[in-house]
Amino acid sequence: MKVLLIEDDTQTAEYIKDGLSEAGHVVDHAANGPDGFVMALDGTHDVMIVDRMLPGLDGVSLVKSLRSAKTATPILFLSALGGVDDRIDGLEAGGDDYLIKPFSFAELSARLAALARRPAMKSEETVLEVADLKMDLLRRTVTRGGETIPLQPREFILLEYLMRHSDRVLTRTMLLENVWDFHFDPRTNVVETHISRLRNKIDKPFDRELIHTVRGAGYSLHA
Amino acid sequence: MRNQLFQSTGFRLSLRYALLYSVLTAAVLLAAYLFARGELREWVEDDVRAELAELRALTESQGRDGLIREIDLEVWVASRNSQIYQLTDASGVSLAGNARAIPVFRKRLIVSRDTIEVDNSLDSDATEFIVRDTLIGGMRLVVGKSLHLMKEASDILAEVMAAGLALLLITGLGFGVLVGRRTERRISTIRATLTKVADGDLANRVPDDLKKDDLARVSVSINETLGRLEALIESQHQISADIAHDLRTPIQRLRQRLERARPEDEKTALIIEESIADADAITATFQALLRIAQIEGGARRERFQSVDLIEICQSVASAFEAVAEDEGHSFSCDVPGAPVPVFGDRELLTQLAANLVENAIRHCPHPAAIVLRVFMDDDVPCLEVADTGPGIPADERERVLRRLYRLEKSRTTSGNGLGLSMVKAIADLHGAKLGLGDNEPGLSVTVAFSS
Repeated sequence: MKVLLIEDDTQTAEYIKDGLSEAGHVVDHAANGPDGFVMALDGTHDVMIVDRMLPGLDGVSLVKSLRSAKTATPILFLSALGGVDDRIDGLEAGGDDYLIKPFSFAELSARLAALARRPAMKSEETVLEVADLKMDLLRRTVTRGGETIPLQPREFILLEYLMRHSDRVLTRTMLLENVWDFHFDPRTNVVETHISRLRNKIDKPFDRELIHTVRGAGYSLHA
Repeated sequence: MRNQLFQSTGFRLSLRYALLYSVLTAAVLLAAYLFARGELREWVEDDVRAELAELRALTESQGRDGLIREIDLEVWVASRNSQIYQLTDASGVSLAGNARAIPVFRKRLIVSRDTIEVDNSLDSDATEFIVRDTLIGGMRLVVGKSLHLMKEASDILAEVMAAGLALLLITGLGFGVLVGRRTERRISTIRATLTKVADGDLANRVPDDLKKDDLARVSVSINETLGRLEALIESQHQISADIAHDLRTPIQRLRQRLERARPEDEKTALIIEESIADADAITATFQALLRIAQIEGGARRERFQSVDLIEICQSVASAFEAVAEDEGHSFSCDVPGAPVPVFGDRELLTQLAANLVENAIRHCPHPAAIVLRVFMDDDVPCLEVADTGPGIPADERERVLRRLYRLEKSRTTSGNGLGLSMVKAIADLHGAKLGLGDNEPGLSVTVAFSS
């Protein structure tokens, strides 16, 4: 992945750059708004990370300008502003995701992967397949090895999300936001409970485990 | 509106002034009337005295016969100007005049017609006379004049004055109503502005109505205060934002360093993991505090929409049913058939319902029955979470809500103890009432939205 990082705090920038490079990605870095704007217009990046509070040109204005300039690169906001309105402001300005500082690297990495352009996936697909697990989106049925597995509505949505992002790490927060539309931190283990139930239905009776726990990060579905 | 008018200071003040003026004016008019009446009577008496003096002078020049002749002449005219004459000799025998049997008196007297004898030719209106007498050479002459004309005059005067007074009173009242209404309108404008500001629109000000009176001065003061309030809240938000930034950045760095550390042994690795968890706990707590403060400050209100309570509860139920069951509780969601719309923020209301359900799950020793309900109480949409757990004793319920218990005594791992405060803040933002009750047994928390 080619990543453009627009972040003025040196230590954070180092941290992100090092982490992403270690994971095999290429990182371009701009330390202020105007420079970042110019580099973004390039259009060669798979995803952008934009800090909200930048010297010279604040993150939201930057993103708004990029969108007006028809830049379609997915953008992840990084922000020390965690106010109730701030996330919505960021998304309305044209951002695709919003991560509040402090964040864990695993969270950042998972979200970037989810955002970056993935050529294979087409939205017209009506069947999702991972190994011998098949999900028919039209008929709302799930089978594994030919056997039909009955799922509750929310379990279906959870599995669908896992399958759509198969091979990627999905954090708890991402699951809460995308499967349940919860934008707060629950104090009980909602995600774990549902993953466990899903596992009981689609993994336990079979040989191969498809749902994996990624320690310190989240979950991932893959063969 | 009628009641408000009568209670308005402007109206009451005007009414009081009108009454006071009327009373004073009435007193003045009464005094004037009495004075005028006294004067009129004086005039009548003066006429009588003058007549007496004339007749005395006549007697001196023309003698007794002249007097009698004059009296007879006057009597003939008297019927038109209603004067009475009585001339008696020393022994009381009537010599001339149209009146008899006027008693002896000192100086003057007012006699009524039926107590004396008068000729019928006298004007029938003349029923009261003021009389004076004098002694002329052994004779007693009494002259009197009727008071009826004077009476008529003073009656007319009284009527005019009464009419004037009534007019004054009515005008005063009418004016009072006008002033009262205008004042009431201006006060309503001020109240409307203050209500809008209390609802969160801090930029509102009382409009300038171009008058330079007391209310205008109050309005100016109010506007100044509102301006200061707006600036204060702005700076508060700014401080919150600054604090957020100032706290987050060092915590971010702390976290980053911990994450990048390469521990050499299992023990150190564990220490680092726990330190990261603690850093996250710090963040979660001040994030929640910040969020509560913003919600209390009215954030998100502008984005309110019509949302269906049933949908929100069903999404919460679908998430937590499994969690509750895993803990050994039974969970049920009870909603009516038709949608229950409220005006508010979907995310915040979801968090509210989730918080309440999670509270029940975490604070009930198993097994308990937890119910999430949506219902209409008359036309008030309500959301309720009830459990059969230990509940909260009645006296503590007040404290929990009123003092905004920010720090729960029973604080567990990732919980920051602010759940109920968040619920209260969200409820307040939506203008909803939060109530804690006894579920007999257990706790029931009800959120009642305004209709």
